[in-house]
Amino acid sequence: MKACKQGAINPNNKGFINRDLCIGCGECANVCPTGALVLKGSGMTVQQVMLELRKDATTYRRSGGGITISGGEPLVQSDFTLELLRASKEQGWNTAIETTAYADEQAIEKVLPYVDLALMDIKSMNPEVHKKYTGVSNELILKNAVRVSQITKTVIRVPTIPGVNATEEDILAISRFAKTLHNIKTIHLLPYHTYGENKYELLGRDYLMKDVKTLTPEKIQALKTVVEEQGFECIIGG
Amino acid sequence: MIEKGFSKPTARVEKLKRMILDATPYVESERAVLVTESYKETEGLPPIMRRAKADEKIFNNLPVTIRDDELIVGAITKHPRSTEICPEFSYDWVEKEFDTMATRMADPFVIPKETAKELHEAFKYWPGKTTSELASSYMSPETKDCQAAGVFTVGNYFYGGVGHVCVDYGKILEKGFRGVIAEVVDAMMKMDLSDPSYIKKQQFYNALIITYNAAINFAHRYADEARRLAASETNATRKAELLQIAVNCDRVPENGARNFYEACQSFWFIQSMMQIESSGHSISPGRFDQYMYPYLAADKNISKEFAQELVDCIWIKLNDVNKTRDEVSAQAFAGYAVFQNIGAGGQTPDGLDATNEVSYMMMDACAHTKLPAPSFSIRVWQGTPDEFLYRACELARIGLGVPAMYNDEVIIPALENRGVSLEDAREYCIIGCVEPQCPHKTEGWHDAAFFNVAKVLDITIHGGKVGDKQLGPVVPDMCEWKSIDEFYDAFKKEMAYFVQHLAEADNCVDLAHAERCPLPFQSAMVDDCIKRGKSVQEGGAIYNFTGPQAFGIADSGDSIYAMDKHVFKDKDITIAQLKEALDANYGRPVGAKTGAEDPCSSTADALTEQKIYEAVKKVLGNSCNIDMSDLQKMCGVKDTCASCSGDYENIYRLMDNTECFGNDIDEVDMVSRKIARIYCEEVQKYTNPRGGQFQAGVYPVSANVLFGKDVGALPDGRLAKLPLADGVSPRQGKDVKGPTAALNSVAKLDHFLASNGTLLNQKFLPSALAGDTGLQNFASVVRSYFDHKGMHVQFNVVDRETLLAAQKDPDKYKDLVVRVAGYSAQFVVLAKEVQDDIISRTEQTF
Repeated sequence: MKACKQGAINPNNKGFINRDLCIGCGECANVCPTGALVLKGSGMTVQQVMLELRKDATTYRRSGGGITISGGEPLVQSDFTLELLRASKEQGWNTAIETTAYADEQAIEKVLPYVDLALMDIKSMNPEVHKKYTGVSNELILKNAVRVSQITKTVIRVPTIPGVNATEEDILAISRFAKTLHNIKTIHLLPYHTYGENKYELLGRDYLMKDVKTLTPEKIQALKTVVEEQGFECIIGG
Repeated sequence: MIEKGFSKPTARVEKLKRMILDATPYVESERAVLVTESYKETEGLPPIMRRAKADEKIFNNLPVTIRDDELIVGAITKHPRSTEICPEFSYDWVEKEFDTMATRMADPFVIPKETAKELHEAFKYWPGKTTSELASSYMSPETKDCQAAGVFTVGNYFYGGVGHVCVDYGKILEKGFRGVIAEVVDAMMKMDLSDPSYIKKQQFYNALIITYNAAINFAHRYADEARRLAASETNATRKAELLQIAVNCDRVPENGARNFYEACQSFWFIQSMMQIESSGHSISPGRFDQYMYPYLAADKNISKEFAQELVDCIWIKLNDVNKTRDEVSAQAFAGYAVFQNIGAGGQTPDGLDATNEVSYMMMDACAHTKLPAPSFSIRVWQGTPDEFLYRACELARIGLGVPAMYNDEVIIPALENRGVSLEDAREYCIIGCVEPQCPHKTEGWHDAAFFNVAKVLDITIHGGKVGDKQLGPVVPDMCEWKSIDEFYDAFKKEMAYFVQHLAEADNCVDLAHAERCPLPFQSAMVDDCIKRGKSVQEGGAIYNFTGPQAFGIADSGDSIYAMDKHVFKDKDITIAQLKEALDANYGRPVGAKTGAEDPCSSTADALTEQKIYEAVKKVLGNSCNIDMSDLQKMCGVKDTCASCSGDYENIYRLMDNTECFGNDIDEVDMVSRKIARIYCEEVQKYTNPRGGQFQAGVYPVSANVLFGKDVGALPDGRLAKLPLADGVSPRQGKDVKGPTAALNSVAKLDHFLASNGTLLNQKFLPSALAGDTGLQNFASVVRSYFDHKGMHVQFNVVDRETLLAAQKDPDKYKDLVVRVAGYSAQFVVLAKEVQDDIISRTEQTF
C-alpha cells in the first residue's frame, strides 16, 4: 500500500486495485512479498525484441516456422510492427500476423508486404451485428480484406461465438465472401472458449459472457461442413 | 504420411507381461552357495582360475527354469524378477537385512527362512576375501572422510560387480562359444614362451576354456529341460514350441546362429549369463538393431509377426532380471532397476545411416510391453531419416519416458577427444543411463562415482570445513572475499582436493576388482582381452576409462551468479550478511518435526525416507527420468514456511528471486558452464590402473535427492537438505520461459567435455505432440537442441495425474507448459476451470 503513490491500493476494495487511479508504474509489484502482484508487459525497442527472438532461430529453421505478431491489434502500432517485420525478414525468418484488418489503408499497404501469412479475422458479414458486438462497422474490414489477400497469403479466421455468429447462415455468408477474395484456401473456425475469463477477474473487471455456453462438437462439425462445402479447407481451433 | 499408433501385442506377450507385473521378487541362494563351494575347492589357485572354476560350477549347477509360454529361455532365478547374491563383492548388508528386506520400503525382496539359512552358512566363508574389504584397505582415512561427509560416493562398484559393459554379441551370434574357444586356443599357440608375460596369459586362456565349455553345457541343460517338459506336455502347440526350444538350445550359443529365432535365443543366453557371472548392473545390449538385423534379413522363413513376437519376448526377459542392494543404495536406485540400455539408429562405421527394420521393431516392442526395462535409446545425427525420428516421438507420446535421444554430432567428437578412433566412435552405444562408449572394446567404468558439486560449494563457503572438522584445504573465510575471483580461487582449491580423493577411491575399488574378481566369461567378449591375454578388470580392453559423474551443477551455478550479483556487483547485501543467512538456513527451521509436511527432517525420519523412496522409485521406473516436481511433492518439501525470522526473509527473497539457469540468459548460464568445466577439467587429469583416463559425466541417477540432505543452505535460495538439481537440468521449476529456452540453456554447458554423459529431462503434454504437426514440431525441437550441441534428451509426456497434482501444488509445477487453445501456457497460471478442462482433454487425446 505504501508503495503506491496514486493511492490506488486499498485492502478493503474488492480486487484491491482501483483501476481508475492506477498508472501501471509497477512499484507495488516490486515490493509484493509473495509475488501476488505482477506487472505484465514492458516497453521494448525493436532491437530488444529481436534479441529475444533470435534465441529460437535454430528452431525456426528446423521446423520451417517463424514469428507471428499478434495483439491487441498489431496494425495500430504499424510503425513498430513494420520495423519488427523488416528486421525479421532480414534474418530470413518466416513472418505471420494476426489481425482484424481494422486499420487505415496506409498501414495495410506499408506492413503487409513483409508478411508471409496473414491470419485475418472476420467476425460477421452483418454490419449491425458487427457494430453491436465490436463497436464498429465491418465496412473497412471487408474492404481491407480484399487488399490483404491480394498482397499476401491469407487465412480467414472466424471466432465462432454462440449468439453472435455461430449459425450456418453466418458462416455461409463469410465463406461466400471469402470466395470473392484473392486465393484463400483455408478458413479457421475458432470456437468460443472460456479461457479468458480468468484475466477479467485478475484485472478486476466483470465478465459479461458468464452465461454463454460453449459450442457442442456436433454444432462445430455442422459449421465445418458449411465451410468445406464452399470449397475451403476448414480447421477448427486454428 | 507419418505412421501413427502401435499395433497390439500377442496374447502370449500379454501373459508374459502379467507374469512380470505380478511377480514377487525373491532372494535366492543357489548361486551364493555354489560360488562359496567352488572357492573352498580352489584355495591356492590364481584368482582368474578361481573365477573360472566358480563360473563352471555355477553354469553346471544353477537350477534350470523354463517359464510357461516362453519362447526365449534362460533364467537367472527360479522365481521371476528375483535375484541371486554375489558374496564375493560384499555380503554383510544382506545378512543384516535377512529379517527386514521383505518389508523395507525401498525395493523389498522376500528371503525365505531356508534361503536365509543357506546364505548365512555361505557368508561364513567370505570375511576378509571380498573386493569391498580389499578396496577399503587401500583407501586413505582422508578419502573415507570425504565419503562419509557426502562429497562423493563410490558405492556402486564397491558393493557389487562393475557391469556397465556392452560385449560382442555379434561375435557369438556368428561363431558361437566354440568360436571363442577356437580363438583362445589360437592365441595360446601364438604365445611367445620366452616372454614371461605368457605365464599369466596361460592362466587366463585356460580359465576361458573352462568357462566356455561350462557355458556351452548351460545351454544344453536348457535343451534337456525343454525336452523333459515336452514329454509331459499335453497341449500340442506348447509341446511343439518346447521341442523347438530344445533344438535351439542344442545349437546356440554353442554354434553360430542360422536363423533369427536362434539369434534371439543366443542373444538372450549371453545377456543372462553375463548377469549370472556378476552382480554388476547396466549390462547393456547396445546396438541390437545392428547385430540382429543380418539374421532377420537372411531368414526367408520367418513371418514379420513371429519375428516381432520374439523381440517382444526378449523385452519381457529383460524385465525378469533383478538386483538387490543395501537399503540405502536401494533408495538411490529404487524400482528394481538394472539399466540395460538397448539402442537403435545412428551411423555405420563408415558414416552412413544405420537405421533398419529391427530399429523399428524395437520401438514396437517397447509399445507392446510397456515395462520399465529395457532402457531404450535412439541415436540421432544429421542424416537420421525423419520417419525414424517421428516414430520415436510417437513412442515418446505414450508416456513411458522412452526413447532417450542421443546426439551423434556431439558424442562422436567427444569420444574422439578421448582417444577413440573415428570408426570406433561412430559405433558408439549407450551404457546404463547415459554413458556413451565404443561397444565390446571398452571398460568404461561409467557410473564410477556420484560427485556432489554443491557440497564442494558448501564446503568452500565454510572455509574447507564441514561443521567443526577441517575436511578440505584451508581457504580464506568467506567473509574475507572481496570479489568473485577470490571465491573461484577457493573453490578450485577445494575441487582439486576432493577430486584427487575421488580418483583415489575409484582406483582403490578398481584395483580390488582386478585382484579378486576378474571375469572370464565377460572378458572373452571384449576386445582385446584374448589378444592381450588378460581380463577386462586387469586392462584387457582397448579403451579404458573411469567416469565419475557430477550433480548439483545448476545449484552451484545459480548460487555463484546470485552471490556475484547481489554481493559484489549490485551490493544489495554484504558477504557477511549472506553468510549469516546461510548458516541460519535463511531463518527457517532445519530438521524440526512439524508434521507430515516437514521440509527438512533428519535422516532418521522414516516418513521422509518413505517419500524420498517413493519419489526415486518413480524416477528410476522411467529409465533414470527425473521428474523433479514429482520428487519435491513426494518429499513433502516446501520452500516457504509458516514461521521464519524477519531479516533473513528479505535476504531469502532477494537471493531466491535472482534469475536462474534454464531461461536462456547468457550471463546466468555461463556460470553453470564454468562450474561444470571446472569439475570436468579437474577430473580428466587422472588415470586409472588399467591405463585409461578419467572422464567426467554430469548426471545423478537419483543421488541428487539423497545427497541434497548433506548440503546446507545455498546462495541461490535453496534451503538446507532439499534435493539438488538433477544432471544438466535447470533447478526444479526454475525454467519458466518454455522448453526451447531450457534446452538452449542446457546446450550452453560443454557436453563435449562431459564425455561420460549428460542427462536432460523435458516435460510435455500429449496434445503438444498431437497430430502430424505435433510430431514434426517435437522432432524439430530435438534437432534444434542437438544443433546447439546438447548431448542427450529424454521426454516426460505428462499424464493426468501430474496435472491433478499440479493443481494441488502449483509451486512445484511452474515449469509445466500445456497447449491451451492454439497457444501454450504455463499450466499453473490458468484458472481452475481451464485446468479442469485441459485435464479432461488429456484423456481424449489418444
